[in-house]
Amino acid sequence: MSDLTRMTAAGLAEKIHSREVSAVEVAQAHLDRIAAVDGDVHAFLHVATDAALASAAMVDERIAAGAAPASPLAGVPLALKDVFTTSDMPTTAGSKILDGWRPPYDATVTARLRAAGVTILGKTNMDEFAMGSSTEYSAFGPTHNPWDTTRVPGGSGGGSAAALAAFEAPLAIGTDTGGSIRQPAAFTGTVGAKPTYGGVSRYGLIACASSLDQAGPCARTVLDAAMLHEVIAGYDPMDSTSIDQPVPAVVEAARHGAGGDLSGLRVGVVRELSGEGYQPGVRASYEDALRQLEKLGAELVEVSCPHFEYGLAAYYLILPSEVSSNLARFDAMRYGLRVDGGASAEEVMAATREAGFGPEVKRRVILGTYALSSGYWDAYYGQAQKVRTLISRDFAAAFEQADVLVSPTTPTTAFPIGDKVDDPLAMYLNDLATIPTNLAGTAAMSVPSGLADGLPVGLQVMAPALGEAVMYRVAAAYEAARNSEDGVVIDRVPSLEVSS
Amino acid sequence: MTAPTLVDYAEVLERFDPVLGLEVHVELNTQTKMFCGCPTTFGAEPNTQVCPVCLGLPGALPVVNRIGVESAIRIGLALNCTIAPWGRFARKNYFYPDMPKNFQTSQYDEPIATGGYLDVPLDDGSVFRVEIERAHMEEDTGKSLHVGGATGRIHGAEYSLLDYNRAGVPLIEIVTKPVVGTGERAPRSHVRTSRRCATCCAHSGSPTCAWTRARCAATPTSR
Amino acid sequence: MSAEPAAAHISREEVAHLARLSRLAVTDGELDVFAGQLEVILGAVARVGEVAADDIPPTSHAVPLQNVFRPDELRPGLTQEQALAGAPAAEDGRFRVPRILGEEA
Repeated sequence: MSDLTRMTAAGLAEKIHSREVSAVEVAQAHLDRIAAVDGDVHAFLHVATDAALASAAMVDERIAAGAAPASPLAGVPLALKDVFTTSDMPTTAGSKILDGWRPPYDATVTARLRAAGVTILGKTNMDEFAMGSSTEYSAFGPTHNPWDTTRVPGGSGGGSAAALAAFEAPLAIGTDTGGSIRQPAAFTGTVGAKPTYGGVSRYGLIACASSLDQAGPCARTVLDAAMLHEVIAGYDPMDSTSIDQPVPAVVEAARHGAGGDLSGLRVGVVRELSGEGYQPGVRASYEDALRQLEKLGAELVEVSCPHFEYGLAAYYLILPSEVSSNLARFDAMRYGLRVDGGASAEEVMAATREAGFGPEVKRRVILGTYALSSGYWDAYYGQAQKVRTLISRDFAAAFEQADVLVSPTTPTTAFPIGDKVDDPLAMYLNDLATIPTNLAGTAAMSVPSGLADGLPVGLQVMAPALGEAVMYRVAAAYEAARNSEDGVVIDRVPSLEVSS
Repeated sequence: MTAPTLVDYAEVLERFDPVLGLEVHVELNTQTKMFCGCPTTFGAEPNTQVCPVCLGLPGALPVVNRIGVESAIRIGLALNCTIAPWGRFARKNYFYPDMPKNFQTSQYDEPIATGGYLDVPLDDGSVFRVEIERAHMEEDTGKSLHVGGATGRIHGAEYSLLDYNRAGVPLIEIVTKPVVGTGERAPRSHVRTSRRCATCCAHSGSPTCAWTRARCAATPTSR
Repeated sequence: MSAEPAAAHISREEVAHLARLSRLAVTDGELDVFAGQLEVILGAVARVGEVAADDIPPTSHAVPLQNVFRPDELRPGLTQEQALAGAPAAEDGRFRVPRILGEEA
């Protein structure tokens, strides 16, 4: 039998549902793999061995009893970013301030995964409260990129992406506030999608910036991501920003796209996201990608989004402002860490937040408090919200001319651990191409686009709000073309077992 | 600094004309809290009418209570206010242990009702018109019990105990314009005003409000 | 013209004040580091002021939704035990916290 950990989620599901292999065997194979390699990768903060096996056993029982599987992904293992509450596992959001906290409730995403019979293997590492682009800001130590363990896997969802690239799980969940699903996908040669804002419930997702946060699927193939997308997406009355409309038929779109025909489709090449500041290898890969898309029958259209260049500035005002308010609740009174820093509640709050938050969180909380203070509100937060409107208008105009837009996902490939950790601004530049989508609430995904200097590169495909079907279609077509041309990228990831 | 001297009440009334600004908090008599499905009834055991939302647990999100908003609109109409065609909630950020999120979800510059009035009958048979500045929706905080110290009050307490059953209970805050010209009737008139606010709410045709639970804060200044 | 910040300058004292407002007992060493970093970041984000946007409406949420309500119906919440399970300290069914000084800023 082929190695179960090398298979796709779709392939595993087929074998489990036809009883060729049990969900328990599949879970065990992945748990073994985690035990073998996670010492080097550190993708997981918590591995839920017993719960995973118990959940898989239930799937097997149900299938043995002749019942239909709870979902097309029943029995398939998954790595869950540690930013979703789980009633049976600790939930830290990568922060010391929540170390040891066990939430009394499940996030909607968690509940949907359970209801779908997906096997939750454990919780993955992340930058503290999803603030960062390298997973180095986790309070529990960095995650290492399986392609080169001296390098970062991206962030904030570096744990989820690394788990996929290290074959510790075929599926993972991420969250994307400014690129935290897509940038790690690009850095690890995997697939990650940020759905339309409101497409997936945020209930139980520990907030970073509420108006930007969005949960989404991560996988090694476009089809797997689409299957997971359909499991977690959809209306939730517990999230008042949840969209009460049918989930786009992304699985069908991915299957259709894999056929490789994009004729009649207009692909917008965003002028502002194609040039300056990109690593030469990334640019070369991008030019290749454009040629491929043309070969698939797509019509390339150059589009201009003049306000994108202000996206980073607007984002780094809006995000810290929301963060400073969202993170106020971590005050040592009701849950989480309490540091005995004085006799009064006020002193204990300040001492606990000082000890419990890492430097990046503190920087952003302070920056947000500044941007929201009365003397600066108009010039900073207020102005950033207007720029946000202009970026949405840029998208709207571009989507008049094109069905999807493309760009490199990131300006560079994965950088060495320690390279940017003390230079916040350099770190922020990673999100240049991913941020506009979050500001506009539209959809985007990253799909593997070959290697540059031996490291993975991602192609970003952007779609209008609720335009996920066309996005998956283009991504699947591109993936199929790349695979047939130069093989599956992820197959070239170094084996990690020898070093453990 | 000179030491303050006490002045006789009658003399005060002679020398000053009191100006009162009232902020009357009235509880909206909904079944459930403003942003979650927890009950609002009084007298339950501590922390038994709470959920992830009103406890401000990480990840929890608010969803507004339709009846809460409807009641606030009815009260606004009963107070002869203009109802805003569009509005939203804002966060009032400040740290305090009785506030689970360390911000209060409230209305800031876009209150649901503005610019009304209320006629308050006084004991002498006259009617006093109080102008209403605005009325806005907000959520209540938790309740602190201060332990230790002589008085059971916050000052001198050794520690505090918190019960969040009240946290998230819907309130409407009615803010009057400065009330001028009440003279010696000032204390009575402001009690009357707040009671009148509450009865008015109770008669607003909504299942709304328990006037006995109205709270009132007056900001007296004088001129 | 848009309200453009004159200069993105942030002093060490200002950072200390903001940290106090944010309930962060930062150290002197952190103040030095943060003041420098925040000045660089503010210099970069102040670019939003270059955009002429006086007549542009602000966007707070990208997907406009309105009149999203919940029916006034009871939903099961937490038990007292569940509510207090994560508490650093509890007493008599309540969260126990250090004495409150009562200043609000």
